[in-house]
Amino acid sequence: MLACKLTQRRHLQVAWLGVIWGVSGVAIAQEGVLTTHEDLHRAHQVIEKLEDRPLKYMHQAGKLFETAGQPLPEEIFQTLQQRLEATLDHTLVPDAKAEAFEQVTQAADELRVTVRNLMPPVTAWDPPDDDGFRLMLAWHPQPGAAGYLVERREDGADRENDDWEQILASDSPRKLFHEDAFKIRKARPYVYRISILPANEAGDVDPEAEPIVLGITEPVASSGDYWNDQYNFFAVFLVLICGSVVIWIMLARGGRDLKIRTIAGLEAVDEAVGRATEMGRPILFVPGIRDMDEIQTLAGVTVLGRVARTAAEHDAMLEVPVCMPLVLTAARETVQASFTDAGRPDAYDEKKIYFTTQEQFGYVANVTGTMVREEPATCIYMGAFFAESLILAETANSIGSIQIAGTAMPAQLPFFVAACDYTLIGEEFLAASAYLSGDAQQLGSLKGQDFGKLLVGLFLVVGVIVATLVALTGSTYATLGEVLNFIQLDVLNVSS
Amino acid sequence: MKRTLPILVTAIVGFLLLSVNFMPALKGMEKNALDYFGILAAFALILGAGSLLRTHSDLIRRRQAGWGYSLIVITSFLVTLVCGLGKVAVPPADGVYALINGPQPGQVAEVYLRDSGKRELFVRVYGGEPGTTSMLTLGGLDFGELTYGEDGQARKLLTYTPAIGDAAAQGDQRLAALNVPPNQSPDPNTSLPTYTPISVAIGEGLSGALERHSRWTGDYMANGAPFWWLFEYINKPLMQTTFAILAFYVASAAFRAFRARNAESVLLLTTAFIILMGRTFFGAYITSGIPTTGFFSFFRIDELTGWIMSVMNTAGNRAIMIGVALGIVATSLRIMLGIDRSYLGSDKG
Repeated sequence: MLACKLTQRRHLQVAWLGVIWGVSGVAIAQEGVLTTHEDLHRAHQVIEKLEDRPLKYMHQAGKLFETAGQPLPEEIFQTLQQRLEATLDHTLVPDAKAEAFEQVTQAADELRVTVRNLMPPVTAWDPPDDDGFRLMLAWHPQPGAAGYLVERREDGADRENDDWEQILASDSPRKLFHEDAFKIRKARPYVYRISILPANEAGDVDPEAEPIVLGITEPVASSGDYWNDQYNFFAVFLVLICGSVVIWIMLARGGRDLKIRTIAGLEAVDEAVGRATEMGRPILFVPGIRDMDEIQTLAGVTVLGRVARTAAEHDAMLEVPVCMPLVLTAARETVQASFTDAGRPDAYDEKKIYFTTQEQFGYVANVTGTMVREEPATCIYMGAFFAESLILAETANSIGSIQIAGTAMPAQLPFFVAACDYTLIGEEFLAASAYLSGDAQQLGSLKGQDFGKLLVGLFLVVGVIVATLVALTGSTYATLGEVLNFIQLDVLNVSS
Repeated sequence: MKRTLPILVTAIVGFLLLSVNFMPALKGMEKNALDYFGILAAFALILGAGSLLRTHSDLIRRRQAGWGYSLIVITSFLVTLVCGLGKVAVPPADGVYALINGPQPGQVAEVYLRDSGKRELFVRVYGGEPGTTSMLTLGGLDFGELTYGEDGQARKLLTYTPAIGDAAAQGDQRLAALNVPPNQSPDPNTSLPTYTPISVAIGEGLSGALERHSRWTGDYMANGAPFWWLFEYINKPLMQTTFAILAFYVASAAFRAFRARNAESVLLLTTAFIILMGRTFFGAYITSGIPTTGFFSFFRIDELTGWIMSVMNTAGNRAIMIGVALGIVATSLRIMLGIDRSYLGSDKG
């Protein structure tokens, strides 16, 4: 009869587990596994994101099996595909749909395990399309492990030397970024050692047990990429759209006649300024609540320049409360220059353009207080706004001001449309500066952006036709399905 | 030059930030550019504050109507400024540290010990002999050897997590014996207990003691500090009150806007009515008799509401966003190419 002490039995158990893990690691590390950095990264993405974006990453998983020369797990793919189609079936009752979602999760789990088995038990790689300060780690989760210990040292150090830097103790397989206490240096090769922290009987980390080494990675060095391949099509579109804008600017410069439709809100600026002059009341201009790094604020300040020139010509008072100090500086420069151009430098009053506060509601309290006290005849809102938009518009409405608003914030447009006399919606506001200037080159850029709309319209029509045909015919891996996948996943880089 | 330099800077930085999206290796330059903007904005804040003080001082000096409010503004501004900049009553940062200069040139050791739920010990030594080792001792306890790499640096990071519930303590148990003083007394009526500095020794030449951080290391927004109190009990309630008033503004705007004047306004009114009813219990109740499956399920108020929001509203939203995106491209190109210079001031010269 064998009588073992508790500690001896524990050591035997841990040793036996180590044998199992070692054998399983050897069994997996065969030919037909992924080895390149790109393939490992793609496999990791499939494992991480398959459940959230099943169609896209199922597609990528199929490519990984082909790369590794392994047969496709057809049954898992078919199950996942069928369950995905079920989740899109609007005739299903909620319970049936919930069951389909659960089955998608189960099928995704199975596929993740098969993809994981394409990778060696411990891997480290340089992720693509990054700035070169990241390395990624992944390892197979091990049954009976309460946690994992990750250690690192620079390659080239004495392999017999046991001095490894402890990076972290994790409770699940995870990737490593550079936000640890010891940052990665670009192009310096590192070696990582992953060890299993055995569990005690309660399932927690056993403090008496020594970590069991799961594996040591090959040396890996990070490198930055000078081109992000994911944005190839995006770059093509950008070149097309920007190229069209530039071409039309050049055509306009060459004297080509351009027809721009009338924008009522901008035509009303003169009328609004004239009204303020006749009534002897000021014009209140609000350039939004964002800083100068926001394109809407820039657009607002350029419109301010035009409004200031008109105000100077009509001898109207202009008041501009601003929310950001940099906007204060820009607004003062703009208004002063406009007054000077209009031949009224003496009428410029710096104190009429003032900073209030950066707090959103503090600012709107100040502006609405100004409205109620000074009762401006005209209120112009041009810039980025948030919840305060309706407070401004309603207060000005209550004092009988004529209001002209322009913003590119879709959530605030309904408020402005409901409460203001004229509203510039989205691109009309961004085109305001060019429109008011009347400069041919600037008007040419407006024509150029219309080409972008044509392109978007074309993709919309093609995409809708293909998606509709795929939905009607039920094809997924046939030609139409491949076209739809290509448009969604490769061109537009979106999920299903 | 007054206009050329800003245009040049705009063009260079604009194209750089555009390129960074396609060239990940330039991400560091993007961060630098954005940091420069932050620095400029910080300087501009001084201008803004000066403008604020001058405006309200003028009102007070001339005793114009409402000058009492200007007095409140200036007083609030100065009190908040003093409390924030002076870190009034702010506890020091968590933990203790030691910065030790060694006998050899360039030999410096940094040791940080902090307790933020788990105890963490950071050790970094510079200027050591590559390939050699030194023993680390804290409070008389040995914490292993530090090995100097090729760059003459040695690092160590140790952590200790105490037992929580059934979970056992984890990490280096020796850290449990080192007492890290709290940065705030648990009892507001008593001051912090006296801390006895923990001795530090690294090898033969480096020795010192772990001292508390200075008051200036604390977070100015630390709970209980006057600055925090001003925001928590004055600023926040005021903001929330103003935000709450918005509901009444929405009601008055809706009352004016939803009038059946023409076909479009009738459509708007009908849609608004369906959405409003769909968000109430009564709306769900009056269509509860319609089956939940089949063709007629579409006319249930919750289904109709969901369809309007997810299909019609989304389509309109996306159309506006596409136009905005194209407008941003064209506007940005005009500004980056120097065609639109009105944001700099006069177009002439």
